Amino acid sequence: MNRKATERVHALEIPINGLSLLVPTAGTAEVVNVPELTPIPFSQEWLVGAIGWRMQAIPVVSFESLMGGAAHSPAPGSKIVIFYPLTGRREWEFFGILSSAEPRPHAVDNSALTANPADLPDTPYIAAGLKLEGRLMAIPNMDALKAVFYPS
Amino acid sequence: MAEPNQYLRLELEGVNYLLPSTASFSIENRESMIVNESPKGNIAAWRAVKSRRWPAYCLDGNLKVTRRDNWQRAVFLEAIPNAVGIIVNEIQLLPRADVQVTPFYPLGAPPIQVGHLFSEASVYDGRLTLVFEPRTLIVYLQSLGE
Repeated sequence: MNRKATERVHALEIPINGLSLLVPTAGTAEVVNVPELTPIPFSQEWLVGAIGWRMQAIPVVSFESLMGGAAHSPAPGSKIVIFYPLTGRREWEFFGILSSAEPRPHAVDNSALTANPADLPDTPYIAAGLKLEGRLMAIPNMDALKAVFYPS
Repeated sequence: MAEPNQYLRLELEGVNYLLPSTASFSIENRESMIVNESPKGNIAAWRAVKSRRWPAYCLDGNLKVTRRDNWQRAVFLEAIPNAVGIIVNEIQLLPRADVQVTPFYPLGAPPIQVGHLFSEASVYDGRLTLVFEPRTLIVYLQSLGE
């Protein structure tokens, strides 16, 4: 059997309003219910607040707002996906992305169709897209996230 | 940076913040201050020291300038050329051992050139309290002007 044909990546679909993000499960630490968000005065509009998680302070991002849309308040069913620190960042720099509904796991293999770039939002924060089960899923551009999260 | 021995909890219109003791601060009662009777301007009160006046600002929970009259104390942070103060609803000195502090970086560009207003947070029972970065807080207060 062709080894390449059986390669699978475990991924997590993160629903946000109007789109789904697809991220490798290995990059995520936990999915949690939305507790009370502590607002951060004078922060960027896309930073919706911070939460306490495992005795750490986790900044929480609205991806919709990061892409230029409106930041939605957490609704019943909203979750926060907590990510491990981005490559090269300090070990405590976990961050969260607000999800509008329960994230769903997927096993992605090379039979998944690459999305037409024209179908993806025009934003530097999306690197590419896939069509899974007939639905468009956008893959975040982690380098672009790192640049906007931690400007030098 | 030196380890703080204690933290001062400041309550600003229902929102708690912590100030580490690495900042030099003093607490003043309203009676020892001159209240700004004019509704104009950002300064809520002054502390008269020799021939100078140290300004104190009344901030809301989002750290924006506001005015209210039901206050009794202000916290002054030592700064150059003069100390600068925040009017507080309530204050409490907490020993270091009572405060579980973790590093915290608010994502994105800082609101003022010198950096972010917070560099740590206290997490207790799932609730989070932001800890001021004293140097940045001073620059922010000084930027509020008259």
